[in-house]
Amino acid sequence: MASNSICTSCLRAASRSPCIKRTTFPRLQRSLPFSTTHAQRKQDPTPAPPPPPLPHIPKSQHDAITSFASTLRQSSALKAATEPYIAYGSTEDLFRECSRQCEYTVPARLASTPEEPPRTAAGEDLGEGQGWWYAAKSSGGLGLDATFNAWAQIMFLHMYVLTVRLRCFPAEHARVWHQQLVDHFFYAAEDRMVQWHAITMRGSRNKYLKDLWQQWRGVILSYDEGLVRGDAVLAAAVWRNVFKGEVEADVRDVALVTAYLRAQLKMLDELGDERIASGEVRFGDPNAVRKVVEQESVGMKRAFTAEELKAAQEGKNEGKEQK
Amino acid sequence: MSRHLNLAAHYTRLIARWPIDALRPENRQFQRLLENRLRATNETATVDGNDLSKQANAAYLLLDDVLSKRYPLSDKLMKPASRPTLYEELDQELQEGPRRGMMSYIWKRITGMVRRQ
Repeated sequence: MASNSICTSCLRAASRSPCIKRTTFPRLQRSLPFSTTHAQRKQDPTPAPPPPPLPHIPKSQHDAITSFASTLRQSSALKAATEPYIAYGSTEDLFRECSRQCEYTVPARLASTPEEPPRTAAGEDLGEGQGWWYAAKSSGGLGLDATFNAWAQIMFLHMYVLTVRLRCFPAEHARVWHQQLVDHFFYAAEDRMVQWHAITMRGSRNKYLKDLWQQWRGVILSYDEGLVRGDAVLAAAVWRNVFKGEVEADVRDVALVTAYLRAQLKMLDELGDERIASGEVRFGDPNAVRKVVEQESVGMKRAFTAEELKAAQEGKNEGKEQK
Repeated sequence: MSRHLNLAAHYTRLIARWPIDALRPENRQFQRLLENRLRATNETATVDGNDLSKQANAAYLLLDDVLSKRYPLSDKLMKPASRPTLYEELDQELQEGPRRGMMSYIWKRITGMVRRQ
């Protein structure tokens, strides 16, 4: 099948390249569907001559041109038209900062004869991740499996933080910026499906992308609900999304991620709009919020009432009887 | 009072106090996680009491909104310029939604198709 051969040759090209990260794909290709770009390249036997070098513009003239361009942008006629392009560039930097937190690769797919990678118990491809989120708990990380869904959930968390901040832009801008950020994510998700998970059929990819979209909308709703209703609800949302609602999850880890989420929201709250609009955002270290989560709570020290003790004793007896 | 009974009492109290989520199914409620810990307090042989105690502590911090107080968000974020009443409307919708009947749901869908700008 045509798309099969295109994607394996792309994988080979990616494996030959020393840098396996997103910079393999030039910025221009981002706006075109992945497979047709490569198809065009394959069919064209004589490559086009390289474009002539850009004329050298002395710095003083360059500043004049930049300030002229920004003056033009101020006019209301051009502002709406140029907004998406400005937003594209800055949201790409914001997206890259999100992506920096949770990079992972699936080395088995890079072998010269691509092999099936190890799988988790649920059947997902298991990769090797970099960063705090995937690092083992013994070395201070969170210990999540490096799977596509884990990557998506960590990205959703960071993108949600940016979304809340982008809502503070004026109404006509907020929508454009949010749209561009989400577009970056879905392009990257599709790239990732092709490059690391060998999902060569476009129909399968589309099905997963639609599912991912539903998850994104669900994430926004549940984290917004948590913002409005309090930490307990936010922690429940984090547990259902990042920790997949597993009953073996550690409550301290859930609390840690919740604290990190709120800390990033506060950090962005304190940044001005111009910093966000120029894409100069750096997320903090999750370990910095550990102290907040490890402090002693008031509830642990509060004495029990007679009813509570009775309920606990009954529960314990029931547990023993069931055994 | 035994250590395990103490822990069991903590988890029972946490389960009773944790807010009930009307929008999610039973198996996606946070109480299931706490019940799993409560059952673990009965496993006297293998349970790590210190570990369970720390988890109960974390759950109390979440219930008492310690994080919201430590990282308060300003009105700039909670009344965003693009839609100042967003979170209030969301709160209202989340409260009304689960209780809404079929006819109200249909009416809301129809009226929601046209938005006054």
